[in-house]
Amino acid sequence: MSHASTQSRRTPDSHTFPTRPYDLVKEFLVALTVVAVLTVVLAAVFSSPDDKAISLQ
Amino acid sequence: MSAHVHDSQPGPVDRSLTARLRSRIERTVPPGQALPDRQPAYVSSWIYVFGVASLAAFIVVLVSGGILALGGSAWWHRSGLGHFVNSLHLWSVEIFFAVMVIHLWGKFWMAAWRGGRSWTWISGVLLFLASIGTAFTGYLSQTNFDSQWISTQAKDGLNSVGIGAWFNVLNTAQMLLWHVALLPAVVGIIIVIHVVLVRRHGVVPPIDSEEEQS
Repeated sequence: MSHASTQSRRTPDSHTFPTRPYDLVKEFLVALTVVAVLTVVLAAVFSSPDDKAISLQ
Repeated sequence: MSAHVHDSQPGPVDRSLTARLRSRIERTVPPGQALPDRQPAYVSSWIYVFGVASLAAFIVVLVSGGILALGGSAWWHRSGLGHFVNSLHLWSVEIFFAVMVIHLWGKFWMAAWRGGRSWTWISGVLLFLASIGTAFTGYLSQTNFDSQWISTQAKDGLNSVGIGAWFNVLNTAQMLLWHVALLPAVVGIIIVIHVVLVRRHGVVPPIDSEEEQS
């Protein structure tokens, strides 16, 4: 067994890394707007299927 | 004054259930990490937006589905507005699953379960499965030929595993209850747990940043 394979790897704590500004709330609001607009466009263009239920009556 | 100071000192009162719960809540997420305005420098890729995109799509799914449910189960068959709201609900679900699957693959290739994040990964898997179950009961709540076809195809499989008496896909009202109340609540609760775990551990560092230990 090689020396390298006897070593274990440790994932460092994410809070120890250098940081940069990141606006989570703005990211959420932009995502919400994009998803809402995309939903309206797709619904208007492609609609949704609705085959009538069948009955013996 | 001295009594006030005394109240803030550790003592027998701190072993109360309330104090223990408060301590547990305070220790769940590191200070300042519940809603931080900075992220590690490596969080600079479009792949990181698909988690919050899934959350945004879930909100649109909830709102469109809520309006649809207020109209009643057959509203969308006889109303143009109802049909449009049904289309909004369908397409928001399509977007929800699309961005969630991209989020899943992105996190898979990052091996995002590393560094004590196994429960973040597991809660995401449970969230995916609960979302699929919620979508399936949505198929059964359409009150049209599709729901007739799907329910009659599904009943034999469910009966063969012995749960047909409690989870009866031919019972439209029961499926509607699962779809609009019970399963969305399950999905919502797991989302909260998942997001809290993400905030607790932070975004997983890149694989090549791992430190070797002998």
